[in-house]
Amino acid sequence: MKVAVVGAGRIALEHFGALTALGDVDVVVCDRSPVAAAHAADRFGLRATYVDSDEMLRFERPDVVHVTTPAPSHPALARAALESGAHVLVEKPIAMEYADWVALRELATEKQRWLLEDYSYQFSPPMSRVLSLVEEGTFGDVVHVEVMICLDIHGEGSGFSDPNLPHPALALPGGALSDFLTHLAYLARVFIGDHRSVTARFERRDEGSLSRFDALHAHVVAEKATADLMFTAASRPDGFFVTVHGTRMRAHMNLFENTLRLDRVWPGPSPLTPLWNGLSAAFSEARGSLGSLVTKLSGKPGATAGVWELVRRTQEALRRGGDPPISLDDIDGVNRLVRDLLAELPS
Amino acid sequence: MRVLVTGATGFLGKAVVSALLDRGHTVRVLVRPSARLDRLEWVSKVEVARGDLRGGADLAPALEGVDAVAHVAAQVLGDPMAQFQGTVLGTERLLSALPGSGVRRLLLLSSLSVYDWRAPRGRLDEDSVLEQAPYERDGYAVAKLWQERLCREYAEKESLDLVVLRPGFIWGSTREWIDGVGIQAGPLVLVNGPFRRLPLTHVDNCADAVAEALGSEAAAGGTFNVFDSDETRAWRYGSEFARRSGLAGWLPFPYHAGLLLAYLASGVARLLLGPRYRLPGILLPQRYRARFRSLRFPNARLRGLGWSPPHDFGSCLERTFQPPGKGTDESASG
Repeated sequence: MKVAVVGAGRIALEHFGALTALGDVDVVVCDRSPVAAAHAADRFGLRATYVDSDEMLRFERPDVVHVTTPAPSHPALARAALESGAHVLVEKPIAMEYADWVALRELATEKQRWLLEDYSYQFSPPMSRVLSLVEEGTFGDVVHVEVMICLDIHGEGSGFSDPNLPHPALALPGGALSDFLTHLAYLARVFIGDHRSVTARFERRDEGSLSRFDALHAHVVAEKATADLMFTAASRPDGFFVTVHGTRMRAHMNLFENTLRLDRVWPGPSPLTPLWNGLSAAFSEARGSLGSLVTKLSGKPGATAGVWELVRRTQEALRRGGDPPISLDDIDGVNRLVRDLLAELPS
Repeated sequence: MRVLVTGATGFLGKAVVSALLDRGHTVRVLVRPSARLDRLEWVSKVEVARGDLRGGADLAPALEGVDAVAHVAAQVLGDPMAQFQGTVLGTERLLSALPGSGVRRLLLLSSLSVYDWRAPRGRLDEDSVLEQAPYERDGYAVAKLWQERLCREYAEKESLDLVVLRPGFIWGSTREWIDGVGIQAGPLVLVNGPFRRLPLTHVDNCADAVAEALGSEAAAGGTFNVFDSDETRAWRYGSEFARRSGLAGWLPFPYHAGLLLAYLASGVARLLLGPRYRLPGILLPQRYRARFRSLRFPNARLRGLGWSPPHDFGSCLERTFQPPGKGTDESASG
């Protein structure tokens, strides 16, 4: 399997790591910066480097192309890769405009190639565990989901706080929040399905913010469940919290740390349920915190573990002839939700 | 000579600007768009070009009419990727703007971090072996090695006169502590290997070396380590630091005991956590050596240009540990 990664920036490192860990993948890299491409090739033992993606596609004819460049370039690069006959995995957001996604979808369908948008946190260890519980019926029916990102986008070192090198998302109508809407959308949709209606309130709480908005509270209604999507730059410490309410269980996750705590209905007298859940929570928190520390010390992917898992599942499905881990309908549902969230922006 | 200085609002860059002005050069500083310069003492004596090496506006206008570039800017904070992007990709942008500019000489501020600290036998000089396993070191070493490689390839291809300086530990007012001395533990300084010689260069001496090398015909195409001397022992600096900083005192810590501890810690970590384990730098043998290894640090090549440090160790101490209110203004953003 020959894989080309276009873009050698920060997130690309996870793709290189995931691909080379598979052992039998021939990886090449393309970046407009020759030294960035050379550095990636040197560090990960990649076979070849390119600075021109069209030349790379013509010469290498890769089976799969991963697009990890800044978001505005995603549609054009994905289109070129599909035209060349490659399957394509694109970092989120796959397109800045819904119409661009629809055009890509049509092309992928016409070419009979896979087209995936990276929903990395959906493939993180705690999310995989909860999705398994839901699928096997243990969790019961999901009735409500809360997804909340607490991230200090104004702090020193944040890509959104440097006035000298503004993040591309800052120029978008949703400001920095544009960079997080896809995460919020796919994590809700994977549990509640396609939405029927959306209400959202975008706010700018920090007057010094370089972003037009730095807070969001949205309510999403689907056929059988609802979701609340939130973003705040003010709450500390940083966290990426997902709480899933089911008819038999409740799951609390922090996807930055890959921790999971489950509340459940226990057999026996109901007054003891809080006790069992408390003991279970204490054990889960201790195990999760220790696991998070061990993951960091062992150099394994932590918050980016989902990228590695998605890359592994994609490669495995391609080799075995299975279905892609993310379908075109999934991506369409997520991008329609993002579109409808953005439609709620104040004029 | 008109010299463009990158990183001019940084710790070393500010002193480099002063040293170049002292030698009669015309100085243009490249500073980020949001940088505040109003409290810098030399602001009225320099030309100011606004730009960011990492991206944004074209850098070519900043290079118009420039004879030489003192490339001091580097990203010293952040994770390895941030350091690589800030230092190496920034340098790549600078180099891409050079053709047609008239710049004849590029002076690159590199670092002792580029050396393989396992290899030297007794002394570390400009002919010592460069790090062969950079990804086992730290993001700064990786960035500096790639930055040097990039500049050398460009200089060879474009016939640019490249001068590389590799300073030792740069110290001075606002940067009084030197990691190579040891560890600060509450009211005490633990001095690692107290009789080791330190590869020190005071910021004002280092800046003077930059100005000397930039204007020296004999420096053309050369690489120079920058040390004031290697006569200062770790215990001397540690004790001066403790006394002048109001700490209780200092204690010696054997170098080889620390190295043994680092080997033990990394061995246990490898066993328990696998080959990609991570530990604090001081517990990794390769980083421990780069910080504390006992070597001689000759500066004969730099002195061969006719340079000698203008300030001796005693006066550098006085310049660094000034009473409150007499310090150098460091408030401008960089």
